[in-house]
Amino acid sequence: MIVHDKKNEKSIVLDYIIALVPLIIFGLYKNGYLMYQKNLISLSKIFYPLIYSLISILGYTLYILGKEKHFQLNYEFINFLVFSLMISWNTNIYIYTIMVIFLVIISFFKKEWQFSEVSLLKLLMTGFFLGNFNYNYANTLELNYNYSYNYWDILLGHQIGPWAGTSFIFLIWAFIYLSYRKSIKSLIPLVSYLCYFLLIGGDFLINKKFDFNFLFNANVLFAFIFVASNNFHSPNTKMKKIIYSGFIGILAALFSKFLSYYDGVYLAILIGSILLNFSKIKIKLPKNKGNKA
Amino acid sequence: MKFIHLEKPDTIIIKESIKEFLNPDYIYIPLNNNKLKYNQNDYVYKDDYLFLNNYNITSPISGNIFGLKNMFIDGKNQKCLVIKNDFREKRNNFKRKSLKNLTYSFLLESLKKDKNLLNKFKSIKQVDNIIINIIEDEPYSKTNIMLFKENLNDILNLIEGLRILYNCKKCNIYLKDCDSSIIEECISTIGTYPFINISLADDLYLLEKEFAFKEYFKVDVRNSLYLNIREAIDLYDLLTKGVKREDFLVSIGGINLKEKGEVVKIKKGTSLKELLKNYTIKNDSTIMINGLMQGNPLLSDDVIIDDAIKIILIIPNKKIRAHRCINCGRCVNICPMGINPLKENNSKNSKCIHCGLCNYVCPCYINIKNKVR
Repeated sequence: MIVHDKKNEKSIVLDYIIALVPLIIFGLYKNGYLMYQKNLISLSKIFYPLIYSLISILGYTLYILGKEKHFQLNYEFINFLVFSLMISWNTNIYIYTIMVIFLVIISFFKKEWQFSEVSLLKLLMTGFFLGNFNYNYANTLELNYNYSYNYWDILLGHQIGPWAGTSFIFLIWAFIYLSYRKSIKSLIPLVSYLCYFLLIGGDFLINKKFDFNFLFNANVLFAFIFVASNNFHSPNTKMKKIIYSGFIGILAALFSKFLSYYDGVYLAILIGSILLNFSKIKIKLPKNKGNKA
Repeated sequence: MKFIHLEKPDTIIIKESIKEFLNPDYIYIPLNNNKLKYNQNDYVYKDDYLFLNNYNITSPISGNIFGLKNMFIDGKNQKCLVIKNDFREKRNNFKRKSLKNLTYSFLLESLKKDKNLLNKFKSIKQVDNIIINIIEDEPYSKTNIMLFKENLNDILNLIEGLRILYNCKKCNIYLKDCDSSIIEECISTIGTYPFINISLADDLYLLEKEFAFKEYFKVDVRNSLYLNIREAIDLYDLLTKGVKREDFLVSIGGINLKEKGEVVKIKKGTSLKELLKNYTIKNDSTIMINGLMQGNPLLSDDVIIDDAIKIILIIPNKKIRAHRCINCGRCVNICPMGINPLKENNSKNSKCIHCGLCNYVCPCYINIKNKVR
């Protein structure tokens, strides 16, 4: 096409990769370098979390070769990459590989009905559906040492969470970058986090018990930016976007507070994405055959 | 509504000059259920009415009635009346009327042949602002701007006539700022009309469309008389001659055209095949009728060029493989009509204006416009 917008599927994927790079680097620093400094891991283990991403990329390669017969960067790549970043540093590599195989199978066969497959697989992986609501996200350093972090440290990412999803500041940067590049449905993370923030903030005001970690929850923000706004299972029209994001924002706040601090948001997204399918069903009302008044 | 600047590479260049192609061997006039006034071999003069029940269609040439033939017009196969050109351009005499003492009743009387224009003037009683829109949306097309340049005096006379009739003080001609080189050539002529202003607009897509233009420039709809360049020329012709002109301009160009692109003046009803004989077209080409945004590839050679065609582009026959829709929603967000192009069907009730913006923004290169069409 001679006249076409510069933005194409490949450039959207590249935008996501660029947005995720600072998060990955900070994740390697927090879960690798800092632990190496304390002699908790060897030098080569600094890059250990990248194995998850490598498995994901291999999974994606398997998927794309099966689907398109040649390698290319499709939007599905984001799903695979994000899945590798939202897991715990302690995740068992074999279980993770099995989950990636599941992701390949779901991506391959998913057609009309859409749902957040990465949320489902993450919840399966952490044993959420078996009643394990407190899956351990802390790395060896966080398990063995006690630190008193200030607000800035917490915002920068010094908090327990997925290995590449703890930096609130870098997440804000990723969101601004993706929104500026128009590669993301920016209304969804914006509205959903606002709803989450207001609900959690309101709860703190009522109970007079302030928790900075809860209010500026990078794990929740990561899920809203990279999982909730995924094109495949998110709505397109403005009104639907507001309803969907408001719904998952409220559910995320409730589930995080009363069910699971780390995984509640993924359950909210999964429910929201499944319910969205019902809005696509056209209901034909029977014609009124009665006489007009 | 979002107004965007289109990304268009400089691979296609169309010269700002007009080449005349006014002597086609045959002219094809669609019948459209009209009753023929003439029989086979009858002689028709230029500007003669061709049908008994339709006084809008006149002969663009003088010559003999040759017969009937099926041709494609606007993608539809239609039966056409064929007139063989005798190249004499014989016409029944008519007097050109002056627009100096234009009256409202004469205006309405003259516009009976064009219902759209008639309705437009009937709906406006008081005019505070006359707007002539020269802006052209289709990338690479120079048709409107060359039409303006060629008919500059007629348009200025028309505006002046309408200005006096409605006693209005604001008259604006809108052009794209990228066409300002033409303005420099015309500025001395326009300068002699103190009430007429030239307004330059940014190179944004869809400003050619009336609804988009009015929204972008925040035009007071109630007291503004809006005319696009073609309407202005039709109006001028109807007021001065009583009939619309039978020749018009078309931009021709493209990557696969060996010659440089140019604007061609042709007769209404000329066969495209006959016109393209004057150009060298590279192998494996696609002919795009009406441009890359709003147009469609040509399916058959038997096409006649009417005034609905503004640009003909000859481009390489490369097909970009469309990916699976990723549901990004860009087509929904960009649609000026506020519809979901993915769900839109090709029913008559569709609001789609076939602007092609959905195709333009689709990151998966899906031909959404064709789905709607």
